[in-house]
Amino acid sequence: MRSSWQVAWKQLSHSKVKLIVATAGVVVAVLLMLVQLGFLNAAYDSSLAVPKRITADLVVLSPQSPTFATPTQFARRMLYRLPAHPAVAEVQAIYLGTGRWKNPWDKSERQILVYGLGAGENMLQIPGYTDAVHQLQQPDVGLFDRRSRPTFGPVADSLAKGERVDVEVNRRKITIAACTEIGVTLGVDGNLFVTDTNFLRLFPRIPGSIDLGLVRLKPGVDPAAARDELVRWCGTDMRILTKAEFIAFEKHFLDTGAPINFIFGLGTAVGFFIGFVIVYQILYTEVSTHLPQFATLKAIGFTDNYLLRLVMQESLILAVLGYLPGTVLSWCVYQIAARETQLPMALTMFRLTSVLGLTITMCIFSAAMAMRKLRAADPADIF
Amino acid sequence: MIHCVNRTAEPIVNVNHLAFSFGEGDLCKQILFDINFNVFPGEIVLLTGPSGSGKTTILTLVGGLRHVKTGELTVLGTDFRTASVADLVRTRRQIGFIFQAHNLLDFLSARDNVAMAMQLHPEVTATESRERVSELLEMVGLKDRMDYYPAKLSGGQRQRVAIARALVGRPQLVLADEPTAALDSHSGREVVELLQRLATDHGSAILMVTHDNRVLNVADRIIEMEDGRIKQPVNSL
Repeated sequence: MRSSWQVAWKQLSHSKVKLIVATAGVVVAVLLMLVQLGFLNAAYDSSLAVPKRITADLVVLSPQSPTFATPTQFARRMLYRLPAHPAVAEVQAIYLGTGRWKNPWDKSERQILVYGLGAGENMLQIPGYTDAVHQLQQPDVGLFDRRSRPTFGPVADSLAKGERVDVEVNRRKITIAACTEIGVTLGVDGNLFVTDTNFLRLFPRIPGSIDLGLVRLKPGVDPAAARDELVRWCGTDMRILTKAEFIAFEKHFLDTGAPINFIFGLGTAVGFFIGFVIVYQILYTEVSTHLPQFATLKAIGFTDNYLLRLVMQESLILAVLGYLPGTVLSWCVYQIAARETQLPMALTMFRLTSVLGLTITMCIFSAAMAMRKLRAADPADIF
Repeated sequence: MIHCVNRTAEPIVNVNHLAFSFGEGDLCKQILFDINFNVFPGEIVLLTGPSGSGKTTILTLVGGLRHVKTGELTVLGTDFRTASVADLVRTRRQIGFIFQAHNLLDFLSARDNVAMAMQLHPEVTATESRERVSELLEMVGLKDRMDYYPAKLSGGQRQRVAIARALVGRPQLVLADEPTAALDSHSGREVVELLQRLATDHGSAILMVTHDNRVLNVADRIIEMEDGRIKQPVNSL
């Protein structure tokens, strides 16, 4: 009994029910905050997964495209002008389209994002694409993303068993040659990769329009300088970005064009608020029911600061007590969510520390609110 | 019982022409008029009188719980007219308070309630303070009840824990407000005798407000109050 921490702990733990309720409040808050932030990050990470796989030096897209995933088409010949510049080594045209995939097992139809990769050096890193390129060059053959949602059917399992997998995409029979691993996003449930020739069989369109262009520069050329020169060359018909600028462009779209920040940010705020209210309620009750006793402590010589510290320490004890089980529970939720949604859910050190910070802030706020009542404890009133 | 009061020493409490009123302007109500008395080391002084006569107000002023506006008041060498809030808190730490309501913390055992008061005396080592706590609880007859929570103690036992809490810091002055009011005659008598014994052992002065005629004989001096004034000249018994 030499320190106020002991007093704080004894006050909190005197009623086990109260302690459990208060801790549960913090656990719920920690769980909500970690899971919501986890989804927010998963949404970003997954949406940026494909842009980060680009190995090209420059990326070309239509000035009307808000994001590469919902592109506006532009003329292929514009891209093919670029190799005329001495700095450019090679270009690759990429086609994108949303096709209807008919699950051959249960006959349901799903939307799938289909990538048509132009010939030449592949500047989009797709594991297994090069190995399967001879099969993929046959008519109506595709490479399936095994991390597509399970609703597309057990494609990878069937292939592993040596079975032939024929599916229907846009009313056309497609043979799956092999699987790759890319990952899905909140908006895209599955990915299919084909050659440009096969893509145009699936998606009849005005010949010569493409969705994305990738540019390899000659060794030693500065991408930013080359970009500036190419922009001067081409005018405003194409948006030319360095790889870093392209990732920033996609991130900016997620920040402003998609409501994920708002949705998951709101979820995090709700978690914070729930924890705040529960901890405040418990501390406030503790302070108000003990007001005469606290006034007595003041009378015998304890300072206001001592009592403020006591309440603050109680809130910090609750923060720690709730944080630990909260993170364990969140880890379980992350595992389940990753399996169910195929989204990349990782409990990073950074997120763990930020949520610990948020939890402590939340408890300190609650304590600060509950303390206002302490001023009502007037030692002159107890005689 | 041998009981020494040293009237030649500096008084522990010196009250000089003290007046006190609540409220301001038209609502101003004067409670105390021209109060004069001293309390010497080791002395037991009782304050009696009908309710509303200002006894408790005197106690709160001497205890440094209210600010002095008119008159002089010096307690344990601190002049309360000029004392800052920090000075008042420092002086209060040298005073043992016993209230009508025991106001023990329900989430602490008898031992911890007493031990908590030792947090105000960081100069005392942990071992010594543990010994003092046990010693005092033994003296108040709660040797077997040290780890009981207040809810499991009787009214008299709780009041005895409160007394132990007031005395564990070895105060030079004890202020007690009707410590026997909530107790039956037997435990009331016990509590007062206990206070008297502890005062004698530690040489503390006691200023006690009481209505209880049964405890008057422990006093060295009785100050009778009426309508905010001291009714009769101070008598030596």
